Amino acid sequence: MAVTEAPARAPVAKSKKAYSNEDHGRLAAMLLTPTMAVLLIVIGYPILAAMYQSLFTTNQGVDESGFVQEGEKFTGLDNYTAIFSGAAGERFWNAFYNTTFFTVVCVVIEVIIGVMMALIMNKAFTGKGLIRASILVPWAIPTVVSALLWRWIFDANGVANNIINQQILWSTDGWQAKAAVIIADTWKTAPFIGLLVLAGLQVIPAEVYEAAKIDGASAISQFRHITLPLVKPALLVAVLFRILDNLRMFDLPYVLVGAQKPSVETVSILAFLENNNARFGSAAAFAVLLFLYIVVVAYAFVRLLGADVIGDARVKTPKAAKRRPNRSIARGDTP
Amino acid sequence: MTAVTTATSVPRPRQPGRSNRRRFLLPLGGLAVVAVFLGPYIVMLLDALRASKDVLRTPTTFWPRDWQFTTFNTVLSDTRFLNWLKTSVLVATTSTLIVVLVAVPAAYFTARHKFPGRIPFLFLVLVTQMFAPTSLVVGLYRQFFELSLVNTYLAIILTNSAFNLAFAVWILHGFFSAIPDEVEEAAHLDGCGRLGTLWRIMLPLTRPGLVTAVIFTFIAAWNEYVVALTLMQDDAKKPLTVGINSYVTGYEQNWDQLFAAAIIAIVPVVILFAVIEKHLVGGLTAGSIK
Repeated sequence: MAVTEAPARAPVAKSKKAYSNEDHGRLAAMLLTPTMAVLLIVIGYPILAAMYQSLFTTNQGVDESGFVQEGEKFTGLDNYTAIFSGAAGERFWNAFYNTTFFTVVCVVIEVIIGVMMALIMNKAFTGKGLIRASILVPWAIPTVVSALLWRWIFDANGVANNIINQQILWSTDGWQAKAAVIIADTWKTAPFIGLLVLAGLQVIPAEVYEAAKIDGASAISQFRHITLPLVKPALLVAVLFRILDNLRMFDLPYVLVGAQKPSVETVSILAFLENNNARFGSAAAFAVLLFLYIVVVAYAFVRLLGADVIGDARVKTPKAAKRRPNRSIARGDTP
Repeated sequence: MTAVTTATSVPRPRQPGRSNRRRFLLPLGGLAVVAVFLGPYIVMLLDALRASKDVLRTPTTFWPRDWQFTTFNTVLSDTRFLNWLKTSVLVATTSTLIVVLVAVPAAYFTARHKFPGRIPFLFLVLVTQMFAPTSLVVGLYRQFFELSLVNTYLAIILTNSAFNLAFAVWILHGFFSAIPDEVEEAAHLDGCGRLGTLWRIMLPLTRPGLVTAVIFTFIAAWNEYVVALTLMQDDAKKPLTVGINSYVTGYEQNWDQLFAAAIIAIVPVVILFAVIEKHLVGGLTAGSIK
């Protein structure tokens, strides 16, 4: 029970007294190095390269003697200032707003649907296996293909309009394009959250629910006081990774709606378009700005929900879960 | 009529009535979920079975006017498609293996040992998930070009492993943390070595987490597009995600073949899931300490 108090700061917990410090260090090196090596070699270099690249501008036009200029020159923070100035600035802030908007809306909807799916899948009933397998399918479809599929569905003459009997031009700019992206993203990734929460639900011992039932806790208070606290670590990790993914959203709006559509343009799309025009410095600057934004969001998320995300809350939650249903017996009795 | 029955059922004891309702409501709710999530997939299936000449015809109909079952055969006997499929299976399987082998020790250590650099380590791992892949690709290409690994399986296997390592470390860390210290201590007292504890006690206990990490990594590697698009130019070595796009280009629009290929592409994932799904269920922690 040493873990209950101030987990992050305590360098030595009691279970480690069996091993010497040196032994401990060697073990750490042995177990952590593979991860660090793979990440640093494969992703570390490209990130640093992009940061470096963002300080350079590709030469354009001709020099004094009439030769076409080639190569790149160092321009410091010019790429960054260019992003924020004039019309480009408006475009950036619009993309920034879209990125944030999609992230917030999609993650909220996906969490609600995903948790509902997990609760349904966790119950024993006929056809459970079929449901598990079928909700996995959307997620197993490559994003590019699902974007193509939804473009097909949201075609002016497509199935969506056919079903609701309306003539909505989904892929034209405006709220409908945003809605199409949100629907497609939810369809694809709510199962991600559903499956993660399901895995979290599996670890909850059945006795906890039996005890709560004997105490007369209603289904809703069981969910609030037992299920939610116990699946929270798994759920928060799922949400964290969904946020990171959605902030980098690219292929879905790009393939489903298309380029040059302000209502669905995200920062990732801007970076991609700059890369396509061989303006690598400017593209890298967009990517670095997005990166900084994501770092801030992720840091805030981990800080605010710290213990739950990192998994230190484990000792506290079961106690809280045991304590609270008692309080809610009165409420639980009324159906 | 229904109003009357509900009104009369109120004074009756609640238990049987509720469980009856539950017996109907749950599968019904499940069915609704299936319908919503499989709906678009059914659209895809129907288009794959539609006669090629009708696929782009307007106005569209939900049911095919003429059925055409040969599209699946066409796709399956296409050697290019089979090559892409082979690449995808190879890349996704190897990446998943690497991710599990590398992530398990790291997650185990960070979860069981509260060393000072623990949170920075976890955050550093997370940082690799924060850079837009579309921009990462430029640096990745240069790097693999210098190492003359462009156009090799190794390059995309390594990239896929790195892309999914963060999630695997985080999720496994959560599951390892959830196991009470007493379990491990008991194993030590019984004379189990450190690796023995990990292998014989901890891994079986975190099986749902392990299975989750495997499914997630496999699917993510299976679906990876941007990096493979850049690093694999050899048509025979492309993975499915990249190859499949050549069914619909500016020159030819074989939507039926695209959809048939997409449906076939899901089969390996569903098989993997069917095989390991039972391990997702049944956390063994329930009875491990009393």
